[in-house]
Amino acid sequence: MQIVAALSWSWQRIEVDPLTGALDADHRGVNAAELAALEHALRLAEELDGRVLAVTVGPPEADEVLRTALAAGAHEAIRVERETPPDARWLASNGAETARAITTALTTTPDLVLCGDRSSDGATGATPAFLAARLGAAQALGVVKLETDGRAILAHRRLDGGSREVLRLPAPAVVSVEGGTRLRRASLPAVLAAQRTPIRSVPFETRPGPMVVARPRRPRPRELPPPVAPTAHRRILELTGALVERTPPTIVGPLSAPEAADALLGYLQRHGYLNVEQS
Amino acid sequence: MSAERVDAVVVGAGPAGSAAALELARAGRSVVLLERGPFPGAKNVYGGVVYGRVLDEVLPNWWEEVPVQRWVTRRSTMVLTGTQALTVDFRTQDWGSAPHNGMTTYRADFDSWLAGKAVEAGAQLVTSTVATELLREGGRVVGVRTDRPDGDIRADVVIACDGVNSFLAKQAGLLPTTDPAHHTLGVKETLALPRRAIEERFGLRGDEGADFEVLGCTGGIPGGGFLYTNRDTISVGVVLSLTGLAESGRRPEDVLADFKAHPAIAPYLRGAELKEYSAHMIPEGGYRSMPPLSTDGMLIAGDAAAMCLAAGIWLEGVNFAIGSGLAAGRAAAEAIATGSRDLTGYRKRLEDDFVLTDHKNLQRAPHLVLSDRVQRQYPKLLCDLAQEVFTVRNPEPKPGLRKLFRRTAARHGIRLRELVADAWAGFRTFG
Amino acid sequence: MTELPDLLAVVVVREAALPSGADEAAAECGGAVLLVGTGTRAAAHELTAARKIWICEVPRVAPGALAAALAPVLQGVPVVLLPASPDGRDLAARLAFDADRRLLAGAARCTSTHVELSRVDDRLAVEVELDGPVVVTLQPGARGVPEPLPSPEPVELVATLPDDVLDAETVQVLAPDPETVELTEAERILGAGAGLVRPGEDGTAVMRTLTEVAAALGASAGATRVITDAGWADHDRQIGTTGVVVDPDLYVAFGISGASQHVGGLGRPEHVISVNTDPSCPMTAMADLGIVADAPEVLRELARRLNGATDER
Ligand SMILES: Cc1cc2nc3c(=O)[nH]c(=O)nc-3n(C[C@H](O)[C@H](O)[C@H](O)COP(=O)(O)OP(=O)(O)OC[C@H]3O[C@@H](n4cnc5c(N)ncnc54)[C@H](O)[C@@H]3O)c2cc1C
Ligand SMILES: Cc1cc2nc3c(=O)[nH]c(=O)nc-3n(C[C@H](O)[C@H](O)[C@H](O)COP(=O)(O)OP(=O)(O)OC[C@H]3O[C@@H](n4cnc5c(N)ncnc54)[C@H](O)[C@@H]3O)c2cc1C
Ligand SMILES: Nc1ncnc2c1ncn2[C@@H]1O[C@H](COP(=O)(O)O)[C@@H](O)[C@H]1O
Repeated sequence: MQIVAALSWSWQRIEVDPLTGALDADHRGVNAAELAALEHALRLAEELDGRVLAVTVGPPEADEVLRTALAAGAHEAIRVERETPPDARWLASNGAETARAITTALTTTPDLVLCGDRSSDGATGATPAFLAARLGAAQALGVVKLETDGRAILAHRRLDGGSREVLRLPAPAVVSVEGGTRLRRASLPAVLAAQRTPIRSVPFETRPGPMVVARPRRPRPRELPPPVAPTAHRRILELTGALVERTPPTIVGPLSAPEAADALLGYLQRHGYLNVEQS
Repeated sequence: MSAERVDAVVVGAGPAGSAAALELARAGRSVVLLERGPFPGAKNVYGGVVYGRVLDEVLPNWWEEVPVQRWVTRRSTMVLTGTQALTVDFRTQDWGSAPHNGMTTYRADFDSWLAGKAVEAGAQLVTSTVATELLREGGRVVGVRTDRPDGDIRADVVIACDGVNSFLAKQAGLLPTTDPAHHTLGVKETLALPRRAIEERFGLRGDEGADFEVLGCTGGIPGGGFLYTNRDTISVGVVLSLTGLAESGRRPEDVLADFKAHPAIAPYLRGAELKEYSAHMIPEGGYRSMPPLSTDGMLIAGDAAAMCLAAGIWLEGVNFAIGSGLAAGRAAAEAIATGSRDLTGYRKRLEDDFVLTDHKNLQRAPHLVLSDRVQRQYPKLLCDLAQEVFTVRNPEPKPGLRKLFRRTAARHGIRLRELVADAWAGFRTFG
Repeated sequence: MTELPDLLAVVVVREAALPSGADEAAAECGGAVLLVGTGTRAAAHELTAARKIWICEVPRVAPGALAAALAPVLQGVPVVLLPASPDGRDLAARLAFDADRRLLAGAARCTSTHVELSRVDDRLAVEVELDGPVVVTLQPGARGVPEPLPSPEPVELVATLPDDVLDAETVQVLAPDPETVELTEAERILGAGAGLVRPGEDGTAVMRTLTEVAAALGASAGATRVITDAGWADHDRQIGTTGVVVDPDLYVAFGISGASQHVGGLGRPEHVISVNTDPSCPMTAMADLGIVADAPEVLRELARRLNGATDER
């Protein structure tokens, strides 16, 4: 079974000048979700007798994330050569080009690709879906739990409103996972060996993103339904909230912890938040 | 599985460790540099000024690429009392251009840069890895154990550069358990302030920087304070004698808060936003309390060997760490090359070098600077004297300077004999 | 069949349930919306911002097959807008790929000529001038919804799901668990601030207790940036302008000062309680009930009363 772990080398903590919108970033790396993806890849490889290939699309410094993967137990690593400056034009683009780059590094269609749910800079989470489209694979995005039932892999993913969907994955499949699962600790000989391993890289000709204009973001005014009262005077009262009945704010205390708990639970009780009586 | 084996293991990628690893790698030796943090300098604390000339030995024209914040062109020494301040303010544009003198730099940047030089030369840096134990055979140190799986690594020489209170030096029996009398505590805050504001308040331009050292600002606890400018932050901190601190019953952050609130200091910091607080011990014993520097199979360098030159508030640790690290690396490389187990060449190198020469010459400094007279009496004396001199009392006639001096000294209960003795000691120490 | 407009919202429906952001997407497209999925006819009645509704009923929700089926249907629509809900994001990239269009993900505004993308945690607006057909996803909460309109009668569109496209098989859909419900959806939230963790204490354990107490009250746990920065809670628990924007009915703040960046993400809760040692901090000042007390102690007391066993650790 061939498993691919896609690890980004993305800009961390981009600063935006609040007046001009100019961008500044000095530090790149892999994020927690991607390390979780790598750990899942390694676990599944152990369980299902697979091999893990770590792939990154980035500049030579990105070899560092591949060495992390090799030290932790990935069998192979490859880098697709591409430089991405921290500018608005690059941020506006999304995973389509990255997915194309990743597939150029693959000689065969893998059975499973594991990604993070979003990178730290692009952060739209679109790369995995584009990868699935390119590979003709099934997809499971925003996965919070991965398990196997015998041979098939089951993925629990977030849906709207807090529900979850359990998916059975065919092969090939692309999965993006949230952070939370910690990457195992590599042994010392593995760390040293990974540092000595030369990393293969392949060239890639990227297409530029769209032309853009960037500025600091100001939240857009939210649209509210107009007031419905029959007279202008009432409509104004409704809009401004004047004369609306409201419980006056109360401040109590200083209270001891039991008194405070009484006050808190009493308030919740009065306002219908405690359906069952608590002792 | 048999343990990894290399020529040398260096523990701690601070300035000392990186310098040692660099020299070993340059000598063609296989060397592994272990660092506990996620990257070199991740958690390292210091005031903020590095005297870089020692880097001449590492890299020609190092100043063109070192990650500097500001080049120090202004040094002030201040003496404070509760309400007074007397400042000796020195500035020279010469330090603003190569080869420079002091620079302010962030340790995360500086330590990573120096470790990067070692890696470029061929050293293997392994981060997020703690050396937990020395491996020994007979009496000889033959490697270290780390907290990674299969974490043993064997080497001809182990160099412990794991900082003040070195765990490894203690395990090797080179360092006695911590002696509070020979340590001070440094606490420091990094405060953010717009670049323009820093330049206006400290009278700086471009990449010029200022470095203030302050006596008499620690509420009677032996120690001192400092203030350094970075590009858009200020480092402000106090260094406190551990015994004095314990006796006073005060918390170090309160002493620092008082220092920041002093009328002579507060205007520099107004409106600055706290970014970071940190605390760290400093070896302050100097030459007299330096441990033996080697044992069979192992050397110690930097703060681990109490190499920090700490005369109270004048702190030079990084340059001494680099100097001793370079010497340790060379001595180890030489021993490995000749197959000799004799590592005593290290001490010899240090003695021929600025490292031990300066330490020997300044061996009385910590004692003097932390003495009660320098800490409590002289600040008051000097400030009162200045106040007398500068106060105009017409219609009373001006008293002569000598008279003023004698009168002020007497008021502070300082005998001339002590003053002369201290002046002589000071002259011999710093002169 | 009426011709599809230039700007069309495409909303994936599961068993007649609309995703968050459905009406916003419809409103952004001038009220033109296509519902695809299961139970689309019933879902059409739930829309409040639609002026023109198309429905396309399919046997199952599967992004690969849906994209393949819809791409030809949407060929003449230059701007296809989906809410950035899980199903919307899933479908958007597949649709863009199948229709050979650019995807502009995470928009805050969308017109037929320009799209404004929100980037870098909502701190940067990137405006793209459209030079060809696109697929866009719209951030929920970005625009708000206008006055409700009666839903028009939907027009049916027919599309058949191909069976040669690989998709994962849905085994089960699990109902929301209040402990893990996305904060944005939560009706009751207990918030943790710096004052809930004593210096030197393990904040992760405190967050666990808070989550337990919250679960007993049918609520979710949130936090301020101080807590999430310290690594005691995941970033997705951070309420505020650079975190999650929530809109609960009930907010209980434990040891929170009420900085504008935090309160800015709080929506308009009907009931606010603040437990804080400082009676004049902004959070307590804006609360309906301000309790001046030691937050860690109060939490411990609540844990004891609500969960019984928690204090035995
Ligand atoms: C408040 C304060 C202000 C100071 N101001 C100045 C100043 O302005 N100028 C100046 O030159 N000096 C200053 N110093 C002194 C200076 O910081 C030190 O002398 C210098 O850092 C010593 O370098 P080092 O490499 O020996 O040790 P360190 O810099 O302490 O480095 C030790 C390294 O070893 C690592 N380590 C420790 N144990 C292990 C282990 N078991 N396994 C793996 N890794 C380990 C640590 O993570 C660390 O990276 C100041 C110190 C303090 C506390
Ligand atoms: C650009 C920017 C974006 C930001 N975005 C966000 C954001 O999205 N979300 C966010 O939350 N913050 C954000 N912040 C940070 C924000 O400004 C505040 O720093 C933060 O919200 C304060 O969190 P706090 O209330 O937990 O802590 P503090 O402000 O430190 O308040 C702690 C409170 O606890 C009280 N307290 C102390 N001890 C006790 C006790 N024993 N019992 C009870 N009460 C006690 C204190 O009186 C105080 O009111 C942002 C800041 C910036 C600059
Ligand atoms: N440059 C890259 N190299 C390898 N994988 C990437 C890269 N960018 C994104 N990915 C993968 O796609 C996921 C989602 O990224 P994004 O679509 O940028 O939010 C990441 O978590 C990675 O797993």
